[in-house]
Amino acid sequence: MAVISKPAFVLAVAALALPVSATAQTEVYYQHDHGSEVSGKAADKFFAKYSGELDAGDACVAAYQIRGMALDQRARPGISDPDDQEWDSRLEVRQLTLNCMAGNWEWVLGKQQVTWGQGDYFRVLDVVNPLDGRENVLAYIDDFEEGRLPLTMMNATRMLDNGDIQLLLIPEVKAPRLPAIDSEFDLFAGSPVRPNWDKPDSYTAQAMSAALRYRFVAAEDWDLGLYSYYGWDGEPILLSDDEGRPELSQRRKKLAGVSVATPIASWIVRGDLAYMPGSYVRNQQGEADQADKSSALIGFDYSYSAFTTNIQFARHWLPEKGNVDGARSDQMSFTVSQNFRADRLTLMNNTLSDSESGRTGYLNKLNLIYRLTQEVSVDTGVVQYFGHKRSQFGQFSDNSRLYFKISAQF
Amino acid sequence: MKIPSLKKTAISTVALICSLSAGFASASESDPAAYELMQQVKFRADGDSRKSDITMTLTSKDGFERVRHITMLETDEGQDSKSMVYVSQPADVAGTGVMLHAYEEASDRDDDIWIYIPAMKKVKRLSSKNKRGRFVSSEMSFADLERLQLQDFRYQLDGNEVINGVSTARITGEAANDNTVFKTGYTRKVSWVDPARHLIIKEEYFDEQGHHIKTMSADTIELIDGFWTVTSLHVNNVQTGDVTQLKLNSIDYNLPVKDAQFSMVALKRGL
Repeated sequence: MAVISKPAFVLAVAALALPVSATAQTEVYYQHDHGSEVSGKAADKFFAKYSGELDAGDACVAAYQIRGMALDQRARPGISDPDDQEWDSRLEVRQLTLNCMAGNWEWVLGKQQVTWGQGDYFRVLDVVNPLDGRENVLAYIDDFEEGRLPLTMMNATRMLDNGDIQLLLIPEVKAPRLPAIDSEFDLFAGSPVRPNWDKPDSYTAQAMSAALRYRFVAAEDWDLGLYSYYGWDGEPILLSDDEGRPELSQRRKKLAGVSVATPIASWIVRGDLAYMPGSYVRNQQGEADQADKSSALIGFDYSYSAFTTNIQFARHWLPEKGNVDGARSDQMSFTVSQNFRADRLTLMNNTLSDSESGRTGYLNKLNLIYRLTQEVSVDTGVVQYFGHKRSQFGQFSDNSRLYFKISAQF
Repeated sequence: MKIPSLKKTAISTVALICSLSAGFASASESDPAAYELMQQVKFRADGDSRKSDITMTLTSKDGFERVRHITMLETDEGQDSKSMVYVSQPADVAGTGVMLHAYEEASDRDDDIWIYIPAMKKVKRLSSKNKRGRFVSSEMSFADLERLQLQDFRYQLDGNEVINGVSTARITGEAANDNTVFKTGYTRKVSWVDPARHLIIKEEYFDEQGHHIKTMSADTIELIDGFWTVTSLHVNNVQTGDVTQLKLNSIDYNLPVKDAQFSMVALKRGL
């Protein structure tokens, strides 16, 4: 990964007339007067992505994806001059894999993303790749692929008569990506001391993660998956180091889980269940401790002609144990979408909520997408955070905004 | 009589979907001559497997045009069938794959449908109870992509007509039950069947209010590898004026195929 300047980014975009699949996109967010915020531009984003495949022998292809992104966000109010902007520009290899078929085996070697489980938005079993949190969850709910951080791994799948078994060996360790310092979604904005990271070095025997999934169809139309994961937790715990400074500690995670999806009448019902023994958590003394966590999700999908909806409910449990306080949190999502004019126009609304200890917050995104041409589309809407000020979403209630996005895909 | 897989699925639209439980139309509820003709259409010889490369052009009434490139692989396993549809262009839907496992009508088993969505990097199961949705925004629904399900309609022979110089039998199919209407969005279809080649040359579709929605017309038919093949067709939505044109760029019959080509791994990987 290399940090690049805005001009360099623009040049990179201009140089993109390559015979590959390409996406270029720009987004502008406009903050209206609200709470401690004053009107003005909240953020803008320039985004370009190139991807393609090259033949690598009869049984293999090399797949690649490069993404350049320049993110310019307003500083968090009350921390610094609201006219200050926080930049984060990166040119990244998002995928670089050698994909081979050998008999009933598929091998995907290199930097990639792996998606697990049946849940959308809420990650009960989708634990392999950490998240990019620079824009809170906005990038992720738009496009899951853009919100994940790819990892270098060996991904081998053995196809069976009625399913497949997937084995992952992951030598790379990545921490989730935090928002730019003092930017609008920076939870540590204004803190005199930035947290240190406590995480292992990649590509060592001690850092290796391993994961296994068995996926099959049972009783005619039940898609089942069994999962086990021994890797690194994408949700670090906040501790203090020896000198009393805040430290984000990324610890081992063990997970065993089950997923299911089946049609029931006109609906698809799907679910994830995860048990995470010995998960590291912060105890009453502010130290790392261990407890058995578990999570469950159930979702319902329905579509009728050009209308689709899905509803999800997820619950996460942390039982009280010794110096560890018990906790339970709930998440819900409700999405509706309607296409018009032969899918040229799409109206969509996403509502997410998070509730813990009686504090509930919401994120609502209403957007309208219109395809100007086959390649170019415009997308506009409103993003609203609201609810309890100490909830996951409600804490950003001053960050509600309007947005406009134009994107081109070739 | 051969209709390429394409014909069986995308192109012909002859087909209508697998059915749900309540009340099946039996052969005895249809005009025997009409039912026999539709059976001949369904079971015409078209090889054990087919791989097609298709260009789909979507043109709206105001001239807005979108082009999709699609690859389709199908195989028959007795009266069951498996098919895979993979979209390679344009970029906004490239990588999307749909896999369908269809079962013989007598088994009373619903189809299995999965879709791979590249932006999510995830395979998702779809309900086979409702197939009204547009396939990649075209005038063809998921219902139109499926194999002909004789139990879904009651067929009546309405006489003979000449369509573009071809002698055809005009057959009206009335939806056999509410589930068929819910699933397909059609209460009635009128099909013009070429009895010599067992091809549907033209088909009209009517919605729940009995209004004419769209018409499929086969434009060119060629003999390829000994199988009659519809090599181009168009679907005209008479309510909106939008048109979807399908052009068969190539087709291979009786390719060797493996089960692994109809797996979730293959759905993600593409054709």
